Amino acid sequence: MGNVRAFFTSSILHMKQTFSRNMFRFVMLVQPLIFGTILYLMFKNSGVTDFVSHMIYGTGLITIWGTIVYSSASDIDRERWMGTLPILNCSPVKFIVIMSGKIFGNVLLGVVSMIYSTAFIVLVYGVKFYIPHIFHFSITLLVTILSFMAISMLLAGLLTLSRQVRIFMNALDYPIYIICGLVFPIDMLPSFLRVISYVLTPTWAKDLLRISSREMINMHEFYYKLGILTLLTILYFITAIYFFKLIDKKARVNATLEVV
Amino acid sequence: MDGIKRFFNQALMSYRSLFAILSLQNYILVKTMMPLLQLIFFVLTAKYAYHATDLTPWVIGNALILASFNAFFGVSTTFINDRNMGTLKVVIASPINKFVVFIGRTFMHILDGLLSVTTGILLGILLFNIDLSYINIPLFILSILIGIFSVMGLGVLIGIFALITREIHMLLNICYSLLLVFSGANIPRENLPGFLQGISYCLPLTRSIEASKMLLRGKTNILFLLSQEFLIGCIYIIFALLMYQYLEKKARNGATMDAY
Repeated sequence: MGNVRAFFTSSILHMKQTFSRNMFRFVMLVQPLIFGTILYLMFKNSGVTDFVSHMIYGTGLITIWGTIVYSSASDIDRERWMGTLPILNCSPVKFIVIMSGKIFGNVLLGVVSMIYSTAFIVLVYGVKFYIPHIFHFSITLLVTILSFMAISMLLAGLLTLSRQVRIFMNALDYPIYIICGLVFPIDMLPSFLRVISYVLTPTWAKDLLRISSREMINMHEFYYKLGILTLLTILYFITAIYFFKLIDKKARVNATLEVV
Repeated sequence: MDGIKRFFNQALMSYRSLFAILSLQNYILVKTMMPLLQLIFFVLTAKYAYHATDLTPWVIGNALILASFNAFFGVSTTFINDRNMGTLKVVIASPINKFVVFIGRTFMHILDGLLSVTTGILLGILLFNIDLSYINIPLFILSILIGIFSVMGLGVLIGIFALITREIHMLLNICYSLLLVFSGANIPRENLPGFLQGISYCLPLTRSIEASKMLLRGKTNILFLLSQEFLIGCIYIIFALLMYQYLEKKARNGATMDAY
C-alpha cells in the first residue's frame, strides 16, 4: 500500500513540477498545434487514404514522445542536479517506485496532450474523426501507455548510465518520428532501418491505433500486432529494471549520486 | 584596426564558448545530426503527402530552415550564457557600444548557418538524388546568404530578451516552429489559409525560399524578392536595436542581469 501511495504522490508532484517548466509547456501545448497544422496542411489535399489517422495519431504520438524526451529521459539526472537523488536513493520506498511514478505522470500528461491535439485538429480544421471500435482502441491505448512508460524507464536508465548518450538527448525526437513511421509508413525507409523500426514500440503502437480506427478490423492482424507490442513492452520493462539495479549499484560504488 | 580585431575575437570566442564542452567528434554530431534528421523527416513527409518524385524544393526549403536553427538557438544561447555566467552585467557596464558587441556575436553563426545549409543540400544530393546542375549558382548562394542574414536579424531580436528574462526558450521554439509552418519550406504559401499568409510575409526566409524555388524553375528575376528579404532582415535588426535600448534600461532598473 505504501508503494502505491508513493507511486501516485510522486506522480502528482512530478506533474506539477514538470508543467512549471517552459520547455515542457511548449512540448505539451504548442508543439501539438504546430505539428497538427503542418500535417493537416500537407495532407489535406494529398489523396492519401486514411490521412486523418496519420495526422491525428502522428501528432499525438509525436507529442507523447516529446514529453518523454524532454522530461522522463533526464529525470534521474535532474534529481541529481537538484540534490534530491541521494535522498530518494536512501528513502525506505524503492527508487524504482518513485521513478515509475514520475514516468507515469509524464506519460499521463502526454496522453492529455494527445487528446488536446486531437481536439485541436477536429475542432479547428473540421476533420471528421471517430473511433468505431472502442474496445480495441482502449486496449491499444492502455498497452501504448504502458509501452511508453517502459521506453521512458529504459531511456532514463540509459541516459543516466552514459554521459555520452546524454549529449544527444535533444536529438532523440526526429529519429523516432522517422524510424517508427509516426507520420509516414515505414515502407518508405531502407530495409536496414526497418529492422530497427520493428524493435521499437512506437512503430507498433501507431500501427495498432490506426487499425483500431478502421471500420473493418482484421482481428488476426490486430491481435498479432498487439502481441508483439505487449512482448516488446515486457522486454523493455525487464531491461529497464536491470538498468535501475545497475544505476543503484554503480551510483553507490562510484559515489555519483551528487553533482560533484 | 584594433576594433576590427576585437570584433572578430569576440565573435570567435563567444562561438567557441558554446561548444567548448564537446569533443570535436561530438561537436560534429551535435551540429549535423539533429538538423539533418529534421530535414530528412520533413522531406520524407512531403514525399508521402505530395507523392513527389522530385524532392528538390523541400530539400532546399528545409536546408534554409536549418540556418534559423543557428540564428535562434546559437545566438540566443550566447546571450543566455552571458547571463548565467555573470558576464552580461560586465558587458553592459563597459563603455563600448554593446549592441555592436551583440551583433558581432552573430558573425560566426552566419558562417555556421551557411555550413548547415550547405550540409543540408549535400545530404539532399546524396540521399534524395536532387539535381542542382541547372540552377544559377551565384544567385542561389546570394539567396542563401541574404536569407541567413535576415533570419539572424530575428535571432538577435529574440536573443536580447535574455536581458530581462531567463525563460526565452519557449519564445525561441515558437518562432522556430512558425518558420517550419509559414516560411514555405514545407507548405506552399498558396496552400495557407488567407489570414495566415500575412504571417508568412512578415517572417524571414520566406522570400529566400521562394527565390530559391524560382531558381529551380529556371527563373532568374529574383532580385526584387531578395531585396525585400534583405529589408526584412534590416527591419528586424533596427527593431532589435530599439528594443535593446528599452530592454537595457528595463534590465538596469529591474536588476535582471544576473542568473537569479
